[in-house]
Amino acid sequence: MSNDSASTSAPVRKGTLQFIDVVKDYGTGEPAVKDINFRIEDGELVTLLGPSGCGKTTILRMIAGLELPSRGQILLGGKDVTSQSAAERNVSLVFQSYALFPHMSVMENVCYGLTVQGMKKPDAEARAAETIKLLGLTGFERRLPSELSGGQQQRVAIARALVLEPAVLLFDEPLSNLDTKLRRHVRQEIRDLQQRLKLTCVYVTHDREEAMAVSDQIIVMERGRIGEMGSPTQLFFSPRSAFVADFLSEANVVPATVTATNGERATVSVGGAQFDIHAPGAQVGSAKLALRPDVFTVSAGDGDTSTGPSIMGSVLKSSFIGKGVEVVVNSALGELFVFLPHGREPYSAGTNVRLAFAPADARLIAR
Amino acid sequence: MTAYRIIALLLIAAGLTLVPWYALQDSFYAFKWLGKFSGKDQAPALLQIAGHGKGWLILLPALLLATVGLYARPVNPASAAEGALHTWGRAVTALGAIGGLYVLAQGFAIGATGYTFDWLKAMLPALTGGQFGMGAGALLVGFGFVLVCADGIASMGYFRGDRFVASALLCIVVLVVLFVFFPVARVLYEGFVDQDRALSLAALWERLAQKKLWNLVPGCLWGGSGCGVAWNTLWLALLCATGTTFLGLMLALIVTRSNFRGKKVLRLLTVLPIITPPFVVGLALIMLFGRAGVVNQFLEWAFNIPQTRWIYGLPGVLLAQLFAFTPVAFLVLIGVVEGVSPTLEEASQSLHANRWQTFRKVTLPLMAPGLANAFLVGFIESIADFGNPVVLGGNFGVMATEIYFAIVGAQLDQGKAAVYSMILLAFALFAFWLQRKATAKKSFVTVSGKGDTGLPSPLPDGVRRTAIGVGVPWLALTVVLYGMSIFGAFVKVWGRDHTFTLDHFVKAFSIDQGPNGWLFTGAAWHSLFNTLQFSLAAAPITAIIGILSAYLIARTTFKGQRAFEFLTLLSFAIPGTVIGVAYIFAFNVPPIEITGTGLIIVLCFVFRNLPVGVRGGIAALSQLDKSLDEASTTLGANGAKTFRRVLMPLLKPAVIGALIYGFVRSMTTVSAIVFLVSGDTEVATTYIIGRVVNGDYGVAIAYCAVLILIMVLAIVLVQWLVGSRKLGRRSGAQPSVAPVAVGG
Repeated sequence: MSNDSASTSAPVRKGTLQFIDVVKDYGTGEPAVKDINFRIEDGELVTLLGPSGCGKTTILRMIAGLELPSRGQILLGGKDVTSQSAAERNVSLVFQSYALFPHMSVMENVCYGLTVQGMKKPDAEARAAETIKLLGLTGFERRLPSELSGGQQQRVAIARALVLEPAVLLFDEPLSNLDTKLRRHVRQEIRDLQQRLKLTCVYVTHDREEAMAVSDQIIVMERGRIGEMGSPTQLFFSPRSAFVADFLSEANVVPATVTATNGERATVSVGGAQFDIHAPGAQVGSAKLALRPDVFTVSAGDGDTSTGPSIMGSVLKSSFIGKGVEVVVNSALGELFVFLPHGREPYSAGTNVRLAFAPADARLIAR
Repeated sequence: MTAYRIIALLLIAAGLTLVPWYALQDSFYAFKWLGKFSGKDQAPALLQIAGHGKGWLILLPALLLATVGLYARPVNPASAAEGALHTWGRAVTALGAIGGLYVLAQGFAIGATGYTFDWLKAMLPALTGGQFGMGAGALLVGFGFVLVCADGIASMGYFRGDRFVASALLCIVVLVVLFVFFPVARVLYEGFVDQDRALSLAALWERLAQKKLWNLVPGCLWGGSGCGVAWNTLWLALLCATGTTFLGLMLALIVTRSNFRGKKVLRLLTVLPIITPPFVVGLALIMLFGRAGVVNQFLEWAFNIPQTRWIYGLPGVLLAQLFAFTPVAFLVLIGVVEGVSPTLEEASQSLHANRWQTFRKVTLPLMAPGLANAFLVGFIESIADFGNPVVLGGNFGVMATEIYFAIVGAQLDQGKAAVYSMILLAFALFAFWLQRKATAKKSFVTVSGKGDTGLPSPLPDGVRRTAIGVGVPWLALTVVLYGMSIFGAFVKVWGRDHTFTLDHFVKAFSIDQGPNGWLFTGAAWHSLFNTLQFSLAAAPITAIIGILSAYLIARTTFKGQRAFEFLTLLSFAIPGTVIGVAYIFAFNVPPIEITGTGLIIVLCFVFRNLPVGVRGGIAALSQLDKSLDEASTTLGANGAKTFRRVLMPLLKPAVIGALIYGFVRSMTTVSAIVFLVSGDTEVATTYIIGRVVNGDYGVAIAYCAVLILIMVLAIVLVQWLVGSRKLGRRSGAQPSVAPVAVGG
């Protein structure tokens, strides 16, 4: 590699990853993804989150170099890698199926990337041994993948990717082949490892809880486009779009009217209730309001017990799900989904209820 | 400079300076040419240019120098201006392509007596002499330029810049074009040429419209005579395909859907067509039903019915083909019947359909594409069959045998052979095309990885009785036939003198001790050694090209992939006789002048068996998760390394399967090579034909028995080698063992 192309801009760290106007078109009608612009900083764990078919895996495969964009640019560490093949890119991928080579032992699997790039076998084994130790696989070096448990196989897959010290480490739904109990444990392990080694990671999942648990930033994908990007708390508490509000927190998005604005505050009218909320940039006129299921307090009958805004309705159905009670309420604003975290008894259908909420929990959303 | 480029340049350089440019009269490996290194026939290209007046070759060293020049100034992709790499790659591609094409073009343009085409004579300076077939030097140079061309294509960014993929693809395309397309095109061309070697549509029409081909007398198909050869062929193929499909289905139903006890034995039947030399069934049928056969003798003795010759003609050929090809249909249909999900049948029954309705409305329609496939395979096998008609045909001529007699018979009518080949090829390609269409639509045959837990529903009584009633006697007859053929090898004269003897084996395979050690004095040794040598040489080449093609088809994407796949599978549809005729026409004259050598036989084996290797490879690759390749790629391995370190070890069973199949099929090939052998290169099957034609059945059968023994040994040996190696120990969920029917 020649070093004569000296960078003139401020130094960009090796894990910084940038997509500029990337489009992937398979030539089958609509492009698979389009208008993809984002920047991931060195040392961050960023999750691509979205329902199946939203294009998140396509983006991951473009980062890995397994697919090449139809248009646009991919920058890695400030350098254009758009047309580099997967073999040339300093990026490793942990596959959903792990893709461990079944005819190679754990050690051979971990060494593979080092030896195909020309490292001598003893050197490669020494380095692989460190990574194997790091992932707690010492003692399993001579085993074949088929002789390991699912969780161990996954750690081999991570070790195999990690040993190359990639600028960016990619995870494609890494927990989907594990049972529910193990998932929580493994996702914490991945997060710990990432923070300890200050790795730059891109993580694909369709599970919003998993995404919020591991990420510094989440990119929510919506039908081939980026819906929104932000930290888990940002996206959870202050979504800017109805899609993100619904996808991340199952929020009720109801029609509302902004009757007046005053600096960063706006007066909002919803189903008869009127209140002031923090909403910079709001404009007078019709709007949408997101109300998460867990912001409501429910009181039976018409008895006015709270002072805040409230919505009247009647229970359509209600069920006890262990960690709380779910209630679907028919109101003038449409069906509302309500979750009572400490509820013990479901409501019987037909009960008239009053749903009260604090104005601070309501969000005006742009679209 | 990368190793790849150095190798390509060294190949070209060595081809120009170190080895003889032209094909040698005696063997290359005898290395006698080293003694006459500058001789007119032995000199490498550079000396040919300097000393023997082959000035036209000067372009090749010039192209080599130009390539070296380009390689010395590679474009650095990191620093180069936009498009510079592309331009450089295009230049390399052009040099490689020009070099490769020029090697061929000069060979075709300048033959043994100077220019081949008159218009060249008019345009170019006069030549002092001609040139003969190309040899080792031309091969190396051509191969080197192909590699250069592939490098250029990859540098331009095609195939994701992977030189391995580009060069593998280019090499295979060049080989298939040279050894499948070119010969077949030559045959087609020959059909247009009249007696004076001039192109003539009239000549073609005259041959095409012959009465001998298309004559149709009322009733001639039903046992009469006088039908045209084309009708004979089609009619036989239809009967054979119908029969084999029906019998195959019955046997498949017995094996998969009944509690018949001999199921395991029945499965052995699937191996038979692979290891049976082409004449065994025909000979056994003659022993059984021929004039001096067991049945006729018994009828005469018991009922005084005079002996007849009915076996010679359509009935005999059809019977032989049914025996020979039913196992093929059986093999296809086992997969089809097993592919029908029991869950669907259970669903049908739970919807109150009875067994017959379920079979008629669910099972049979689900199998329909598979049945169509089996039918077309039977059709293709029948029209390509040469061995059975030549033994049993009598006056009943089919295309394959007529082509043979047009070449080897007294008539020696090349034009006729060419036109017959053309028609036969058209039939075969049409059936092949139909078959591809039929199998392409089988998507609703449910084969899921999960063990289907349902019970296959029992067959309706009528169907079961028919299956057992047809299948069991058929099986018994097959056993009798094979037993008969073994018996025949050990008696003096079949039908007359049934005393036990080993004479036939002695005659064919005797070994004597001479003054200088053992001497293989038996008459058959020469052909057996040839057969083994050619088959062993062809098998690995077939396997390599087959697996590489499968990799390109299943694991890479490029424009024209479908066409490439069709190309590699095409030779399956070309009847052996046609290939044989084509090779004679194409490779009897420079630039590729290899008739009478072992090479032409090996090449014929390779390209005849290639489709099997390709299919096996594709099937094996589809079992391997594609993410394995991708994992290897993201870990920094290029196409070649991924192929060698990840795919090859996992494909080992498929590779070995392709090897053994290639070997065994080569040993039993007859139709394609019957024209290609010479006295030196006689092989087992052609030797057997000779014995059959002379009425020397004992030796022929003894030889067949030895061949079967060798092939069984080869298969068992390989099975044992593969079986003892556990590969890809992936702990997938084992499909559950089919539950035993309770209370049934």
